[in-house]
Amino acid sequence: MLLRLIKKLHTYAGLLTFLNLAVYGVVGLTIPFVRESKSAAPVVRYRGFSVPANLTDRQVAERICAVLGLSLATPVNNAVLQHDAANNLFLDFWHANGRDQVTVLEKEGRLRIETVRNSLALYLYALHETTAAFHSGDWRMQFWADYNEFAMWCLLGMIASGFAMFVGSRSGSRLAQVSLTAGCCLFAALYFWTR
Amino acid sequence: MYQKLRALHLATALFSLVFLLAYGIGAVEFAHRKWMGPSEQSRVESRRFAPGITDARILAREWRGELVAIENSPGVLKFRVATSLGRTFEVTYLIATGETTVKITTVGFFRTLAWMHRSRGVWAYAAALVSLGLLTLGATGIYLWFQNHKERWIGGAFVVVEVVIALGLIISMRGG
Repeated sequence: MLLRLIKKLHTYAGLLTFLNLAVYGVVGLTIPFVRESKSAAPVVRYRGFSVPANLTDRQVAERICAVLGLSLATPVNNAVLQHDAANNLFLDFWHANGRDQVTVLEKEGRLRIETVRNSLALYLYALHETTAAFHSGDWRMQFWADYNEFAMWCLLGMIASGFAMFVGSRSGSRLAQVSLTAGCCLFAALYFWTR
Repeated sequence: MYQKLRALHLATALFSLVFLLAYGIGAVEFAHRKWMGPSEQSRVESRRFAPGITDARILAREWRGELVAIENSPGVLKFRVATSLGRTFEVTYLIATGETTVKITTVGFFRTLAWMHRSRGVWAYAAALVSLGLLTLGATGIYLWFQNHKERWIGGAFVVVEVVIALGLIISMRGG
């Protein structure tokens, strides 16, 4: 009875987080190659923008975020707000899709925008590490972060329930015993080799 | 077929078990660092080497890890060696006498698991192997669920909800 309930919970947890776990899998597979997975070359463009009077730098940054559609880079944190050598406001926006560096050329009434777009592998990498500890100004990212947190706990729950099912019903399986031993030995060997 | 895939699901899960547990706990450590206790401990050791060495690379061979920082001051050679699991050796060597002080900093259990999660080199290949296992678990798990006729409807609803939400978010955010 208890084993049946555990199996049901195990199955439901897997089905409810299937895609998140697939993202973890894809990201893990690409990790050894992620250094080679280069982002696209930077693209520089200009765009007209008049800075309204009496706005703080942060308010200017928030307005530019809205104008450029950089909601994934919100809320604007302190590290974004910088000044270049000519004392222009320089905004360094990091987000899951890459990086936008914006120089506010107030006298010219325009923005210089340098965009680097992350490869798909780097985008998924950013998503897989986004959990509820992360606070985003974009509702989609916040939803993803909360869902991903749920997936993280589900994975731990599935590990526990899967092990309980093994102990409860399949502990005599030779193949299972060999697999568990091999995994533990490999883990221990790597740990002692690299610690 | 069902029996074979069930055996594959079980064997893959058990092989990956300890790695997945480490990655899962490491992920919790990343996300909720303040829940975990103090994460670092240091101790200092004294050693003596031959005097007159001016190349940090020669001395650094004494410790296994990556030579990550070198500082050259008059008469003193300072450098830091870090292992892939976060242990560091900060070495201060007096060139004239060979007297050496080593500050060894070790990270706590949970932080070590977090380092395994993000480490490069051999741990990244281990992560790739386990990720292949995770994808296998997903594919075989879906098959095993689908063969259980009693669970098809409710499980199907879960899959549809999850795929619509997660895929919708992934595609929508990629658009900007």
